[in-house]
Amino acid sequence: MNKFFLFSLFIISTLLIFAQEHSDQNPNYKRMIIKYSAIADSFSNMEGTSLQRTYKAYDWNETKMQEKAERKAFNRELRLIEAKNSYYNYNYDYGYLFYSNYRNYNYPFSPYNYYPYSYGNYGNYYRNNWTQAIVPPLIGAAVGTAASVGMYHLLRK
Amino acid sequence: MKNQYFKIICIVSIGIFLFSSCGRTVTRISSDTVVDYSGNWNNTDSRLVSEKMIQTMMNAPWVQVFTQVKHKKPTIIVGFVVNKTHNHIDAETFLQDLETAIVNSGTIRLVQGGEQRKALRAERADQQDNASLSTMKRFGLEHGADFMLQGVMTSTVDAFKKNKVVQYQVSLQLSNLETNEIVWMSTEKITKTVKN
Repeated sequence: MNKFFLFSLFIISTLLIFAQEHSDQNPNYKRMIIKYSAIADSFSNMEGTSLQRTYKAYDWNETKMQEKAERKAFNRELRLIEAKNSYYNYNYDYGYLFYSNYRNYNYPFSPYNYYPYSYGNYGNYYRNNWTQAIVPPLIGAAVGTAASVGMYHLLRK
Repeated sequence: MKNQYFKIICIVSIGIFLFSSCGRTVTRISSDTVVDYSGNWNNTDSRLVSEKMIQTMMNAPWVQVFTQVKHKKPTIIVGFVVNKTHNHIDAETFLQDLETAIVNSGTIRLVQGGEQRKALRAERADQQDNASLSTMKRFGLEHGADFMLQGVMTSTVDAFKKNKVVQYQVSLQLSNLETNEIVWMSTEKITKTVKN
């Protein structure tokens, strides 16, 4: 009887301590368990990683450089378009687009032509391409030759 | 004879001229060497932040307080760091230094999170079918973390013409997972001036 009493006292005291420890817990906590268990995966996937929420800072110098690059690219595009369409559009006689090149070639002294001696505008297209292909290597070769001649003369002395 | 020398010199000089711009040199340097090019976030900033964070975290009283109250070592899980700066920055560069310091300290426990934890669970699941009964690891025995490490990185930029001032601020917080109480917090600020 005494043992039973002591055992009951132990059980009751343990339960009381347990209840005291958790007495402050919000009774609605189970609702939060359900709510956050559903979205737990989306957050735990990011653990140990960096979440990128970067912004673009204004940089005066960088903006200027970007504007310059954009302008350069635009002008290049414009030159390409002009070169491609030069056959029809590069005539300054305000009309007669389709006949102007024919007239240029056959009637160089026609009073309707702004540039009476031009042979159409094929030249623009080819000149642009050839210029880009040949001029830089030519400059390189010229500089190289000049450097080598200079070195030769220096060593000769 | 002179003509031959001239030819050789010509060829060599032209060769030097043509190939001099194609050269590239790569040199190994120490990780402690300070190298700044653009003024953006770099390895030196990452190292400075990790050194400061390790120092403050290990010397803070929260470890002793927790150990005395709970009679066990505190367990940490690393959450995510939000990068709100103007650069793309991977916080792992300094978080891993911090994790290394935590593990090596012996006073704090660190548990896996994120993708690595999923990989561990997947391996454990695989063992349920393929490993022998004596070596198979069981589910439901993971060590629950007491604290979560979280952080925020921010920056402010002031630029005019060729001058720029950038300030990076890295803030790490350690929060109690049960009570949301912040038990440790540290902020490191790095300010740089850039002149183009």
